[in-house]
Amino acid sequence: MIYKVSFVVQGGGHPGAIQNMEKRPEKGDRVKLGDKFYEIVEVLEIIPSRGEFGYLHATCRPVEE
Amino acid sequence: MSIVPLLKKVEILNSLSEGQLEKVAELCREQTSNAGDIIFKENDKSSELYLIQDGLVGITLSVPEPGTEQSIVTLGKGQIFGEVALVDEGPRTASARCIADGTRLWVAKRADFISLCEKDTSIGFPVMKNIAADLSFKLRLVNLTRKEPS
Repeated sequence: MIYKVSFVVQGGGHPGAIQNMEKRPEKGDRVKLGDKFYEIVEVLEIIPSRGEFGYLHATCRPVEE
Repeated sequence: MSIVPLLKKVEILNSLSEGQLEKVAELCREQTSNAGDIIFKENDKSSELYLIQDGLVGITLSVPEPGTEQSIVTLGKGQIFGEVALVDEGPRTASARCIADGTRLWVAKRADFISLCEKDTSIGFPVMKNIAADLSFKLRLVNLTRKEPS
């Protein structure tokens, strides 16, 4: 399964991102969007899977370095 | 290098057979861009569809203050862009700028892609359906971003 994931960052400091992932993202995972890391705080399935693709939405927060 | 393995992971080509993906692959040429490179500008005439193999591309809109832009979304591996113009033939609705060095793209000319979809509707129908789903997904992201408290 390939997961097409839309990322929204809490606080509005990032425009958001869309990327494909081969592993389903989970709450607590860290993701790199551009040159910064973010922690996933929530993952939702926003539309049902089609074929080999899953469609997820992840809300993230900046990671304190 | 065959790009069929990459194309199998591209959502707009979901459900196409290996043979059909080979036909799509024949339309694509590789392009490498570095951070800061402008791939296309808002309101440019559009003639190509882009697929990101690796790297990041930022999509931006101009805002009323001269020389400034608003970031709309960052696109990464496996994403397509330039598809709005593919569908409606209008000018570019936003600008695309590479934001990571060594970003690898595959580029297909609109005319070639549309011609393939029209000649072979067993490719064209699922591709257009998948493009509609991709645009819907992006619209949902914009809506969710607007709901996020700043």
